Amino acid sequence: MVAHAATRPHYGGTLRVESRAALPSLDPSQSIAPAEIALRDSVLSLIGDTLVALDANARPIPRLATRWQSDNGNKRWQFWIRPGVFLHNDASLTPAHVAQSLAAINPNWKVRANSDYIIFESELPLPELPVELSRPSYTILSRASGQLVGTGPFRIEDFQPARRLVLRANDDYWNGRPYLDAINVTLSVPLRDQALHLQLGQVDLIELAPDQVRRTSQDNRRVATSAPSELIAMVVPNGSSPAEDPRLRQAISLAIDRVAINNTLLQRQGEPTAALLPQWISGYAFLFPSNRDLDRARQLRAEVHSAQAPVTLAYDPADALARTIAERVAVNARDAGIAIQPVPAMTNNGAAAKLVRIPASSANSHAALASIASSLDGAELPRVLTAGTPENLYAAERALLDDFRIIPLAHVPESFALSPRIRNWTAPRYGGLPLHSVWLEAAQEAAK
Amino acid sequence: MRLCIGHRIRLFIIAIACGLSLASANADVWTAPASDLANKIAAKAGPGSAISIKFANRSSLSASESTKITAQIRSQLQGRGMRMVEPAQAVANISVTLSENEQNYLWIADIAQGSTSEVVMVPMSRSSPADQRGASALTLRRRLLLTSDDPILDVALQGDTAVVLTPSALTYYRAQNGNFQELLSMPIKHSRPFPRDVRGHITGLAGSAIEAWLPGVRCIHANPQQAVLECQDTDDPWPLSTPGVPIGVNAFFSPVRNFFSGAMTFHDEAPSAQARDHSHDLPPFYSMAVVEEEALPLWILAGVDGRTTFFGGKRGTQPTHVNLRGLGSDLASIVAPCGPQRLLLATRNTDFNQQDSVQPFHIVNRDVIAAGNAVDLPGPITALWTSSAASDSATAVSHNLNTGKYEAYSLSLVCNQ
Repeated sequence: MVAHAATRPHYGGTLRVESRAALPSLDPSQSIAPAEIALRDSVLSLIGDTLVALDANARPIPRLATRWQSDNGNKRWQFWIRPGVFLHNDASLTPAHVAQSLAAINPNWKVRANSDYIIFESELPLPELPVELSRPSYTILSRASGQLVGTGPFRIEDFQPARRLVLRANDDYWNGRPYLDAINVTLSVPLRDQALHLQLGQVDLIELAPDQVRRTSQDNRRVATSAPSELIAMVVPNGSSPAEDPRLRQAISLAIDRVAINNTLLQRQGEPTAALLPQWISGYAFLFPSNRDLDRARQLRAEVHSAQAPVTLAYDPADALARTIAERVAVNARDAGIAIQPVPAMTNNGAAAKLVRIPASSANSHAALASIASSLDGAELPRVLTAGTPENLYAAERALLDDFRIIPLAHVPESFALSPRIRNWTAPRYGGLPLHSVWLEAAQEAAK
Repeated sequence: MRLCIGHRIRLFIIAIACGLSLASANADVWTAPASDLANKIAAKAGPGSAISIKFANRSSLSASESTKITAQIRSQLQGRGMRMVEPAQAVANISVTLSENEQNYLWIADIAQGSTSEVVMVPMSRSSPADQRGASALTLRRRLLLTSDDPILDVALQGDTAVVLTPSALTYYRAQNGNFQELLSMPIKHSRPFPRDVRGHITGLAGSAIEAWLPGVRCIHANPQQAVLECQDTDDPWPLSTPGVPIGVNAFFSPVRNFFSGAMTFHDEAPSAQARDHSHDLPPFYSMAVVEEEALPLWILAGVDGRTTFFGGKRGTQPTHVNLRGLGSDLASIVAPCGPQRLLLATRNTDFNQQDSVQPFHIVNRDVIAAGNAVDLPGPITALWTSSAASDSATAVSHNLNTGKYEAYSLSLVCNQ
């Protein structure tokens, strides 16, 4: 008999991860490209903690806050800070640290520290504030010494943007030392190189594009896939002259064949959508019809009398999938008499529109929409934060989409390929890297 | 004002022949949200209006539940004077969708009147009942003792009292009218953070005193009448004695990991025998159980390296290491009411993100042979302990994958005659 008995986690080992993200900054107070957010969120959850976490049903539960209460119509909140928690620089976590950390993320918030709690005051009612504070952007971090210092299960040992990130286990983590001793993340690695390195056994965890998932599974590699969560959308910023007329943007939206994009380019790994949140997160995404209506698109195009200059559509040149989607959007738009010109560009840099990929960041509908709203259109964020009911949240999402400056195309899952030695992979349904609880099997055990 | 407190424990006794059916319970459950939705529709379409209505189910609710709900909604609308007509004659055409998201079921009505359309929604909490299976030659039964948001490390039953150990507290509950009422809860004090996959064990002391062991910490509750739990850092070994086995065992547990180091002492507990202590160094292990081999105690260790170690029995103190197919790393022992022989209880070789089960085994020639059915638990098994008070039961704790809660079960064997 050669099987083995082991269900309890083993301690030790270094997990080797590769990512195409460059990760220019870990600080959530600094904005980064939407494509970088997923990895940064995962890293933030390793180096720090939020005040509130979400349970399996996406409902708020205590993390660094042990309890909370609101009054004055949800305009005043108190969060009691967990005692006995230490930052990675051995300083005891205080309410003052928490207040400073939150104020750095959102300078408009009024947060005051008291003896063992913080008070949060706002002019608008914030009925879902605990859910909002569960987002990784609100990870509690100290910036006192010019460096990011958290309370999380891993501390930063080395960080070189676009090159590498090394995390080391925090033996004194208040919620239990992680099983891994260390995590080495190599950054800016193209997907093709990642696949090769996994084959050679040089890495344990790599990213997969949707069109790689089936082939990787057929090669008998372990593939972990989230629910369709990441939004792929075309975004038309304000002041984008060729596409300033909302009828033209609506015509583009109606001309796009989202089903074909999903079936061919995404190899049915995603879901066509005209909503920001996927159906499984919001429950109401079906209220945003995503069917192609070419006749109506042509009609709207005809109403826009001016001769139309081509709408340049910027996409990330390192993202092969983005390029093919941008090209397909251009082909679809041409059918309605609209000229779209895909251009490779890291930023929209003068382009009339850009193709973006935004992770959901949460399984909670409020938190997920707040995350997308803050990535796309900060002006609508207060409306999301004040939405206390599903109807209000739906209204907030509709408001974000009403002028067709955001044209959702598809929700795609996050997919990873894993080496056989990775155990206890329990990724949230919305994706991310669940490295708090992962452990590594010894080489000879993994080979069996 | 809203208050959210994280540490909640709910205890309840589950009668084995529980007569409440889910279906009949749900009929009442759907009434309130159906009424809410009907109110919202009536407010938009106008009470007493002629409406057309169609339903779609986009949720995980079964077809039969969906039929009951749609009947409820129709009935509630009719109760508000609304008349169902063909779409052409309707003032409002209503599409009701039974949907869901991660938090809630979400019932959505899209109310179209002329060229305008309005949407109303009613959320309602989701719940998921557990099921139970059984049956074969020797039947292993599970009985749900309690659920908790916090990890349950061990439960000791003392008559009508349950003592529950979590990483943060030792709590006493007393059975009263079919429910457990909290009597006393005392915080566990410790100077270092507990490791991830924290483990703990309750043992009895002389009289009614209780001893709780956690990594690097020993707590004693000496007087049940007083809420005083004395906890201190310690490197003493955990007592792992089994009722009915004349040799006691103490094993050292790593204060910063989730396993026993392998350093153990064995002491003869038979009153007639001379007190003798033997120390042995065995491989690090996660759990230990004891059965008999030719009337001698045979200890079985689930090693950290994945192997199973046998110690004692007819081969004496020479340990033997084997790989036993499919056994997990949590072991306990239990005695069936129809036979004197002690059986091994073992989890399966699954990961902590998968549903697990416990199965009884005979040990024959240092191999395992299934002695009865496997009992499925609703998630990974995070604790399995031989009862320190009675040899005919064991305690298992499962982390329910659907609810996220920890559920403690008492396991016992039933003989099928």
